[in-house]
Amino acid sequence: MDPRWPPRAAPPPRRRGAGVLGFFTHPLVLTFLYLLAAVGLVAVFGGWAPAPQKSTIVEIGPGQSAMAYPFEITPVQAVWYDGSEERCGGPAGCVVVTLDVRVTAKTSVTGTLLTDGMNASLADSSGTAVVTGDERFGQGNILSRRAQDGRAGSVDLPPGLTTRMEFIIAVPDGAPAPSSIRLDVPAHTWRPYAGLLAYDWFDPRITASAALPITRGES
Amino acid sequence: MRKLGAAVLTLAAVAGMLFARSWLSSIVPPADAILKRPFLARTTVGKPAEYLLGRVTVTGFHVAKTVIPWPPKLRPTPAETAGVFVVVDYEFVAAKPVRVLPDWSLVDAAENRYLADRTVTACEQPQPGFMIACQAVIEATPSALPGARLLLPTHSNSNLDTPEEAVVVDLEIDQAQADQLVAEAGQVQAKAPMIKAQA
Repeated sequence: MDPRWPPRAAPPPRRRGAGVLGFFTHPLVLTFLYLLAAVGLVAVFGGWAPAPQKSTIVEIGPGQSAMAYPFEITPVQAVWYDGSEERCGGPAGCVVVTLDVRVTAKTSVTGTLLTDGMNASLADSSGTAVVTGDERFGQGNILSRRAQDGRAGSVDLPPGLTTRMEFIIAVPDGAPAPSSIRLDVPAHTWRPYAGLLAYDWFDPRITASAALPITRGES
Repeated sequence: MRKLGAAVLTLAAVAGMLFARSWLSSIVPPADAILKRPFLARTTVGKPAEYLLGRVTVTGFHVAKTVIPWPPKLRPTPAETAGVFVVVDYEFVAAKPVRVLPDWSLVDAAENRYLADRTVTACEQPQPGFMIACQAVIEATPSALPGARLLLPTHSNSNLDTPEEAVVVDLEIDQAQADQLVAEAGQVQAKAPMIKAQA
């Protein structure tokens, strides 16, 4: 007798997509899993791209406050002195700008940071520019800054405390007497620097722009 | 129907795993945070603390509105503040040659950090085996005093929020003491560093 007799029935054809393995190979499930993995990868390694921010300039006058992170600044006054004033440091006159500065960060911040990126422009009574200065690039006329009690401008300003600061801006010899000043203070941001977190130079997206009339001072 | 059940089960399992991962990551600190956790030698006023650079004892502190700087030649005018100056007296015995002792800072109860003011010369070149008495001046807001602690790291880097190793001195000031210290704040003459004794 033929041992192959009776012939065994052939197994039924395996249906595609059946069983657990088949479920995971289904095109719809695979697409879902790929999407899930992509979202996970982006969330873990990529992060979401920050939305582009518009440049914001906050215009303020005497006694008004504006944020230029990590500072909140309040312009107080601007006074023009002729060359006989000792603080001008020479025969040309100078403008002494007084600002109240409050640090809003959680750590003390050096006052030097305030003038990194600061721009000053003086105009005469007709609105014509007398001088512009930008200390950061060394083209400028901002001679010095200091806390009003005489400490150097590089003094560490404590968080939460308002410190009155003075900035001395030189006026070129022979220039007409300035009658107004505009002081632009950009915000700063934290960024990694040399393995540590340090303040980046400045963030031009947000700028506090202080416009002040200049009064004549007595030396 | 069986396929639908498997899909629902798989989705539920994936959602469960994601939830579990997010819950676990919220309760387990990341490895990075553990590696960067500073070594803190905690102490109080009058009690010495040993750390990498040597032995530090805060012997006392004053609260002032005005500090007459030292050396006077470099800073001729008194430093004044709308807040307060915390003038810290401390002794230091170096464990190894140190060029300049790092700057002190004051950390308040809300974790605001106030850095040392340059009103007094830092504790320079302390030699091992000698006890040197120095001062630090820190400008802060009056509200920083209750619960304040002093921090002396191993590196003078003001941007480093979490030092690798530091001495932490609890000033043990409560609100009533803080009010009294601020009310009595006057003028303090800053002192030069001075070698006190051979340790």
